[in-house]
Amino acid sequence: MANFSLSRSRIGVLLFSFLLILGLIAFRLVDIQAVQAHSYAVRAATEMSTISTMPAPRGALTDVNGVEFARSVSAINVVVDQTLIADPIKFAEIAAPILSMSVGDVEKQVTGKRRWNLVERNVTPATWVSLKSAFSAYNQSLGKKDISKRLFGFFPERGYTREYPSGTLIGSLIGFVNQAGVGAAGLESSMNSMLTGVEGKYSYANGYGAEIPGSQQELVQAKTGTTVRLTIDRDVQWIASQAISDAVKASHAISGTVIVMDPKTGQILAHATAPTFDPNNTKKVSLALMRNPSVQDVYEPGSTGKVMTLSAALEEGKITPTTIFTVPDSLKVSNRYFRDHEKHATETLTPTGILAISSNVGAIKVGQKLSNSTLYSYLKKFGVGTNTGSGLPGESQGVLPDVAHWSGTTAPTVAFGQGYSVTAMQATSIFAAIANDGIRVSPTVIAGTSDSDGHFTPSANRDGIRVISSTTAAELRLMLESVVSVNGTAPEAAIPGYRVAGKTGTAQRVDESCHCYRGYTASFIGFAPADKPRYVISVTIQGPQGIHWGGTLGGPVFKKVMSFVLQSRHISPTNTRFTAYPLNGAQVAKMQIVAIKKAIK
Amino acid sequence: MAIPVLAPVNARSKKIVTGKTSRAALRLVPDLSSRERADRKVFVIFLSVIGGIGLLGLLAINTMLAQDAFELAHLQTQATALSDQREAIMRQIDQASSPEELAIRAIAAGMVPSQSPRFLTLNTPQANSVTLKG
Repeated sequence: MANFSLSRSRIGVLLFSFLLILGLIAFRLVDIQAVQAHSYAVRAATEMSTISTMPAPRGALTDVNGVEFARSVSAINVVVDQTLIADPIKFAEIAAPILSMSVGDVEKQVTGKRRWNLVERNVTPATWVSLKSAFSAYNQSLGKKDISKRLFGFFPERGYTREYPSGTLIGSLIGFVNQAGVGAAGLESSMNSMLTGVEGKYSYANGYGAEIPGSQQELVQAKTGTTVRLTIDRDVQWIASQAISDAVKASHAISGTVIVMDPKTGQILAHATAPTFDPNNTKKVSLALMRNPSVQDVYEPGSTGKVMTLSAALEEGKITPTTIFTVPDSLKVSNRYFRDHEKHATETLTPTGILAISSNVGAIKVGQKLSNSTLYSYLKKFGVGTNTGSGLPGESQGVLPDVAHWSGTTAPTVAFGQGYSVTAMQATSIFAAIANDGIRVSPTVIAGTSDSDGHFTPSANRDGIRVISSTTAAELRLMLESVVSVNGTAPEAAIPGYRVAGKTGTAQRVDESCHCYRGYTASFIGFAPADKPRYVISVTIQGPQGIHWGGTLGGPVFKKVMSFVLQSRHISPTNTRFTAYPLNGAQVAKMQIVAIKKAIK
Repeated sequence: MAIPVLAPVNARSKKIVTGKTSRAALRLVPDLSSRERADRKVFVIFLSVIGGIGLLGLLAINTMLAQDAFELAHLQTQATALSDQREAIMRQIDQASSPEELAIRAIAAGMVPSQSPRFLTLNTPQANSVTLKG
C-alpha cells in the first residue's frame, strides 16, 4: 500500500511538470502566433527582403511631328564604398579620365571611411561600361601576389536624367529641370505635374547589402509621365531661330523674338528667341537669359499698334479706307507736340496712306474721331492688358492704363501705339485676329498629350472672340498690303509671287535701368497670303544699335521665315490681283475721276 | 441478474467457445530458418539508395532553379545594355538628322538655300508646257 502511494505522488509530480511545460509552450505559441504575430512577420520580412523604389522617367516634350525636344534617358550615379578601396590614388588615376574629372577630385571622393559616397552624377551607360572595363583590365593585370591590390568597391545607381537633343533651339520655351529632376523653368516647370512619372516599388532578398539575383519582385510598376506634344514644328523653329539670331547679332541688339502662328487655330509653329541658352548646361546661365521674352517681357508696340486705332475707327464707321486726312509732320495736343518720324510737308493722306508711311500724326487724327472709352474698349477687345491664355509660364498681361486715368495726351499717344505695353505674343495675337476675319483665337503651344500607354489626346479647340467684323478685317488686310509695297515702310518683307500684308513698328523703348526712354524696339508683324491668310509671323528686335527701323530689321527676317513656312507647308500663291486703296488725296481724286468717266460712258 | 433457466445453455455455449479459442491460440506459426530471413544489409542499402536519389533529385531541382534565376538576371542585364545602346544610337540619329547638320551637309554638297518660294504649275497636257510662279 505504501509503494502504491509513492508511485501515485511521483506520477502526480511528473504530470504537473509536463502540464507546466506544455502550458508554457502553449502560452509562447499563442504569444508568437497570435499576440505578436504581425511584428514577427514584419521583422522576418525585413531581415530577409528589402523594398526599394524604381525611378520613373518623365514624359517627353516633342514637336508636332514627334521629334523630341526633351526626354528622359538612362543615367548612372557612380558611388563608392570608401572602406573597400585598397588604393585610392590608383583608383583615381584610372577613373578620372573616363569620368572627365581631375585625379585630385576623384581621389578626394574615394578616400575615407564612408560606406556610400557619390563620385559623379548622371554618367552615361557607355561611360559606366568603360569604367567597369578599365578596372576589370587593371585587376586582371595584377599577379596572384598582388591580389590584395585589386580595385573594387564602386557601384552603379541607375536612374534617369533629362536630355534636350535640340540644345539651344527652343530653350526659352522648354525650360529645364533641376538636379532633383523637377521642372525649374519653362514648360518643364509649368507642366511638371503632368510630365512627372510615378515611381514603382520592388522587393529583393538582401544578401550582405547586395540584391540576390532572381529574388527581385515587382510590387508596383513604375509609370512613365505624360508626353506632351507641342504645336511647334522643329524645322520652322530652326529657320526662325537662325533668322532672329543673325538679325540680333547684325544689329547688335539686346534680344529678339520670332513667333509663327496659325491664326485660325491659335497654334504656335515656332517660338524663337535670341540670345537663348542650352537647357543641357544651365550652370552658368543667368536668370535673365532663362526668361521667355515672348510672354514675359513687355514693350510699347509703336506703329504696329496703329492697326487697332484704325480697326476701331473703321468698325465704328468713322472712317473708310479712302477718307482723306490732312496730315502735317507735327501736331499739338494738350500742350504737347507729337511728331512723325521724319519731317515732311503737310500731306493729304488716306488711312491706307497713314498706315503705309506709318504717320503718327495721321494715326492721332484718326484716333481723335473716337472717344477715349471707345478706343480703350477696342484695345481691350484686341487683348491688350489681358493674358492671351497661351498657358505659358510667367505670361504677362501687358500694361494698359485704365481709361479713367487717361490724361489729355494719353489718347493721342495710345493712338500711334505708345503709352501702353504688350508682349510679343499679344502683338502677334492682334494681327492674327485681323488675319482670321476679325476673330481673335487665344494662342497655344500644346497640340495634345500621350499617356504612358501611348494614347494621344488632342487639345481642345481654342475659343475665339470676335473683335471686328469680317468686312473691317478684309479692308484692313488690303490696307496693310500697301505697307509691304514699294510705297510702304517694309518692301523688304515682300515675297515675290505672294500677296503679303503687315505693319512695321519702331517704338521708343523703356529702359528699366533708368526708367526712361532709351533705344528702340523694331518690329514687323505680317501674314501671308494676304487675301487668304494662313500664317502670321511677328519679328521683334529689342535695342538695336544703328539702323533701328522695323521694316529694315524685321522685314528680312519675316521674309526668310515666311518663305520657308509657305514652301514647307506647300502653300501656293493665290494668283489674285492686288488692287491697292489710294494712299493720298491725289490718288483718291484720280480714282473718283476714273469712276465718273466710267459712269458717263 | 442471471436467469436460472438459461444456465445449462450458457454453460454449453461457453464450452464450445472456449474449445474453439484454444484451438486458434495453439495454431502453429511457420518455422523460419535463418536462410529465409530478410537480409538487413540489403534493406539498409536499399533505403540509402532511395534517400540518396531523393537528395540528389532535390539538389538538381534546386540547382536548376538557381540557374534559371542567374539566367534571368543575366538576361535582364543584357536587356538593360541593349536599351542603353538603343538610346545611344537614337542620340546619333537625332544629331545626324538635325536641321543644322542637314544644312551643313546640303551646303557641302553644293546646294544653295532658297531665297523665295517658286512653284511649277503644269499647264494643260495639250499645251505641253509649265509655268514658273514666284
